Amino acid sequence: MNRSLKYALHFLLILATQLLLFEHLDLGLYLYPMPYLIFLLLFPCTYPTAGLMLWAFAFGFFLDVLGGPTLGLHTSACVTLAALRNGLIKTVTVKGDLDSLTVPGFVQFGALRYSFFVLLCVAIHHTAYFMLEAFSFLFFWHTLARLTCSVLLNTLLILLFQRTLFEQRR
Amino acid sequence: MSGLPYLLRKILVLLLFIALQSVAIVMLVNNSYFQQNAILTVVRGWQANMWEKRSSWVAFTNLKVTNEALTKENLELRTELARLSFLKHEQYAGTENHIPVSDTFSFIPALVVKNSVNHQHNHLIINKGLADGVHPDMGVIGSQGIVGVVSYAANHYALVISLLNTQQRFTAEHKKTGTFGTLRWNGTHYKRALLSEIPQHTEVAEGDTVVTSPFSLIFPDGIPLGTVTSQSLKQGTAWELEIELFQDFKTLRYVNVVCRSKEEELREVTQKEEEAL
Repeated sequence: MNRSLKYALHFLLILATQLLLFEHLDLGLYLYPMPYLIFLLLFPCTYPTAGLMLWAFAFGFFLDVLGGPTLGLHTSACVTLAALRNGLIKTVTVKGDLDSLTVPGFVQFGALRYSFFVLLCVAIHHTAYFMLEAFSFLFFWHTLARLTCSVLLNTLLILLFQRTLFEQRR
Repeated sequence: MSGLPYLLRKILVLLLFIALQSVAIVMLVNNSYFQQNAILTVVRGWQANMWEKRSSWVAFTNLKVTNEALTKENLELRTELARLSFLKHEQYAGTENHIPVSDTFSFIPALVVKNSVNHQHNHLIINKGLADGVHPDMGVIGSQGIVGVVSYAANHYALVISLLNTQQRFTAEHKKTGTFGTLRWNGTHYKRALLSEIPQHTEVAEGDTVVTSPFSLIFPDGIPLGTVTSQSLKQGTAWELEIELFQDFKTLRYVNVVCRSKEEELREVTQKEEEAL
């Protein structure tokens, strides 16, 4: 399958799932399900950062326009994550492990390293998202509570989806 | 992309990141009142701060101009005040022509029509005369001290010997000690006069005030005249004090002629005194 086509397919599927399912899932104030981040994690490890950021921008933009509460929130958070993702991969993995087509995953990274990687990615994205949403340190502890809970939830969700749906067999 | 040097590639990625983030933030700000307000509050704060700094700087550099303007305005206000007070006097004058100040003295407001300060024997001409109750030997005061004494009165005008006349003597006293002496012009500067015959034991300091003496027969006592600027011992027995006058004779415009009530009786008494000598 053509790789770009595969990314486009991921794009549409994950966007649709987020918009149609997770945006309407009301889990309370402290849990905001955003497992769509997995879209950015499914790109190969050596995918250029610039391309990744463009994908992230497009994804976040559509998410904001079609369903988000505030325009630009998801866009900004996604672009932030995309900018830092490749650096995180380099930090988390052992040097020399990666070849150009490897996609981050349990098998490729090892379960512990991959979980840690996902946790970091979600934390970065959520920090950007919730800080921008609150836009002040006035309710800092409240914001921090929302951030922490959502990070845990979404890390679990992403690990789950990765395990069940996107895991590549060697 | 892969052909470019590593650093350039990084910079391009960074630029792209900044651009995309900027677009996202702009969207955010443009579409949410809350975030818009938060950002604008900060920006307005900076702006206000900068404007305040700038305006205080501008105000500082403009101080000279401001001072000149204030001085001019001050002058105009003083002139207006003097004019109004003169009008008020005129109003009184219309009814009675005499403004009672105390039981002993009353004032006749007058306008200086001719004045000089550049001779040794300066004179003034005022626009009130015999018809208004002005007689020779009456004192004339300005707003900030004595001006002179009437020497000749016509029907509607009077000639006044100015304080700035080296031949004229007045009685004045050192306010702090109550010691009186003779006040006369030193003939050199229109703001300077000499108070002589102050006894040597009198303690005089620079800045002390000199006022009219109660022993003066033509002026009410206690009118401030000027301050002491220097002192010198004359003939080893008495101080001669140099006085800086409050009254500015160059800008003199409105004066009051001092009338002493029961002047006739006083004259009678002084005549007897002279006869007795």
